Amino acid sequence: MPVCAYHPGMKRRDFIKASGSAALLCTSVHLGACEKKETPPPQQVQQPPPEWKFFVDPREREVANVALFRMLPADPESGAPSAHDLDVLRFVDEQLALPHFRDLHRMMHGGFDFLDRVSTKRFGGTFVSRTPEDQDKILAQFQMGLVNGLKFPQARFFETLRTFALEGYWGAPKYGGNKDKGAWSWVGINPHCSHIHGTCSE
Amino acid sequence: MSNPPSNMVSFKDEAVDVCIIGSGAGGAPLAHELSKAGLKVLVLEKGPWYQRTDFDHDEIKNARRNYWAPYVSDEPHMLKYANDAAAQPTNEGWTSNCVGGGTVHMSGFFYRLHPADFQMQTRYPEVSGTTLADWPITYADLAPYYDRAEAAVGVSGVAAKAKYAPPRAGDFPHPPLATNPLAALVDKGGAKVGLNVYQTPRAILSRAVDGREACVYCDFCGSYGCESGAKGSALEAFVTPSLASGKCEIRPHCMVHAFETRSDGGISAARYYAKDGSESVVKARVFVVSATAIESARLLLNHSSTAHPNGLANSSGLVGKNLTFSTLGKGIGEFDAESLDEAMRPHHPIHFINRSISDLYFLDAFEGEYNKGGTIGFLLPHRNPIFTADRISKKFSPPLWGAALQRQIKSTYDDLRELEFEVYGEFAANPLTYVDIHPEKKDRWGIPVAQMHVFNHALDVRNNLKVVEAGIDVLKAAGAQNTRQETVGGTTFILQHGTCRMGVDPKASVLNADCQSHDVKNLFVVDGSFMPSSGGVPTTLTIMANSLRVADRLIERLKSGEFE
Repeated sequence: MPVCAYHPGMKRRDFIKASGSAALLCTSVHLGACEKKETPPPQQVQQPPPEWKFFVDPREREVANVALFRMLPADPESGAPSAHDLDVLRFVDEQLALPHFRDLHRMMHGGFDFLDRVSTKRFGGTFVSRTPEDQDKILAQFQMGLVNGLKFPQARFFETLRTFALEGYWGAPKYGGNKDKGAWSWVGINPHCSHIHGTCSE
Repeated sequence: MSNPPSNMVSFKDEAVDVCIIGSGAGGAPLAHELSKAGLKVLVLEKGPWYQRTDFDHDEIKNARRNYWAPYVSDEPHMLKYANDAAAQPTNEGWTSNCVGGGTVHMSGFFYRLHPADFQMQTRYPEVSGTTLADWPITYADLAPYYDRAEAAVGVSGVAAKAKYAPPRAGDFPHPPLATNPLAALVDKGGAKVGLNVYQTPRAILSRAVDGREACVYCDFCGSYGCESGAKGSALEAFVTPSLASGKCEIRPHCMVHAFETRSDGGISAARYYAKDGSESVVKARVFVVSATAIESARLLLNHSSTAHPNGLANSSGLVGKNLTFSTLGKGIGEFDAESLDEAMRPHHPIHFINRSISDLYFLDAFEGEYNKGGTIGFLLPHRNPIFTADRISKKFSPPLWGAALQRQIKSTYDDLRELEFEVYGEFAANPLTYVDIHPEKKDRWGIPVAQMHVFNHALDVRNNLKVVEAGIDVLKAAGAQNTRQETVGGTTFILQHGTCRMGVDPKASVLNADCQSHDVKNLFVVDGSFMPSSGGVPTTLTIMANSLRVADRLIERLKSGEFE
């Protein structure tokens, strides 16, 4: 009886409310009519986005989001989705919240802060506010460890972020990135499926 | 994560005939044979017990976190190359910590050693800077056990007629696996340069057997467990079958850290930490250590008692010495997809190349001197998508990122076929490569950790280069472009041997020909530790075969009342 069915994602309170009203209507009218006329519109209960775990500071979160986007941007020529399209930031947030990566926190917080500071000093504006070209120049300097006077493991920070970016972009969606398997669809693969049998292990 | 089968025998605190520490390529075949013979066997495994239903293609879980091997922060090894000032923490030197050990996530290249591998000192009597040794057994001693191990595992292949291919009595137990059409290019390239190419024997079923499906060609062997049971891991081939005897208990999550010894020097008990941190004791007539060449040496060296002040079974001072790995070489080449036949282009459903060359096992160029080379195995790069993206990024220096990387990745998937090879080269035992105990570093249980000292002998590096060059020649002759050497004289840490070398002389070896300690009569070691030389092939099959050989001798001795 579709009208009275529980939909995944529906909160129990919503389910009780919907099923109660539908049940009442269904007792008095023909089922078909009930389905056609009395069914409330399908309720897509919007789940609020999960709380940020590592990127609790919105400013830092935006710096990270832009840095990840520059590392893996959308590319019309190849049809690549961007790190932003695939929720790579969410992946990085989930990973950095794990106990094993706690040791990275100081470096990662420091790295995002330094991206802003270096940008401000060199280009007169925050990292997020600069042009993509400027952002790439700053990231490239970090990658090569070429930011003069910076007493910070800039190359290691860059490499860590690059690694997380690739993992979030290309890894299984259940970790928070690769939204809708967008990276795999782009190149025509699904690592979770057997080619011969066409079966998937997800 | 699955639990142990509910119908498995449980010995609880009961003393057993044999306690085996480690359930991998060495421990599992022995457990199977001993329990089948009616002996009570308890296997203590440090890691969890994964089962087929646990296995999937999640790259982050399987290839990039601690599913198989511990994080460095929890259980480090220390690594010091001969020229390094200080040792660094590393996760190198671990194989997978789980029931079935490293065989669960192996690729399963199942070659035999060559008969000459058993006589390295005789063949090369004076090679400066090495400690080469003969084995106390010959290839002929091991050959029937190779047959048995191949049958139990379910090796698929074709009996090769290639130069230096080891002799074998008959065909492989199963016909060869299907291969990608690109394999024909390796055949062509090999023929052009005058090298014999043969089908790589794989520990993967090409047809179903009882309880195990045939390979589904999902292409996720190395770094992954096999969800169909086709891969002949120790878990599939020996652990699961051993439970039917009702005489074998596999106890996961048991970290053995110490032995109790009697006044006569024999072992009376093993002590282990369980998953909840509690400590337990196991009593047995015989103890078998099979925790990998590095971890077994660590366990023995961490022991100190009146009878064994310098470590258990170490009166020779050789526990931990003569550590060998496999000398790694790698090369790769590219084919423009447009230049290939349709069937060879990207996205072909079968990923196996399974082509090998053994002609350079002994190098003609260095005849009359130390000329041990190795085996070339051709394969397609792993399909792991994160690894693939990272690999493409790292083709450039510094690693590529941004839109340029996105385009490189897309064009690699669409327009290129890459073909690579690995070289499994001899790693000559030498005085600078060994395991000892790091003086300060401890693991999460507070146990002092193993420290690896590594030195790649110059002649191994020289010979490895020669083999890599030959691999590149084959790729070029096959029509590959942009060929390049990726590694020469590297180290494959997951293949490890020698730290309890076997031999005839108790002063020059740790174990006798039965893999029994010269010093401690009820102690045996059956992982790669026993091997006096590494050979020029991956050695998992050899460890399994030897374990079956040791089992035959041990059953005889236990049933005759020895070790009471």
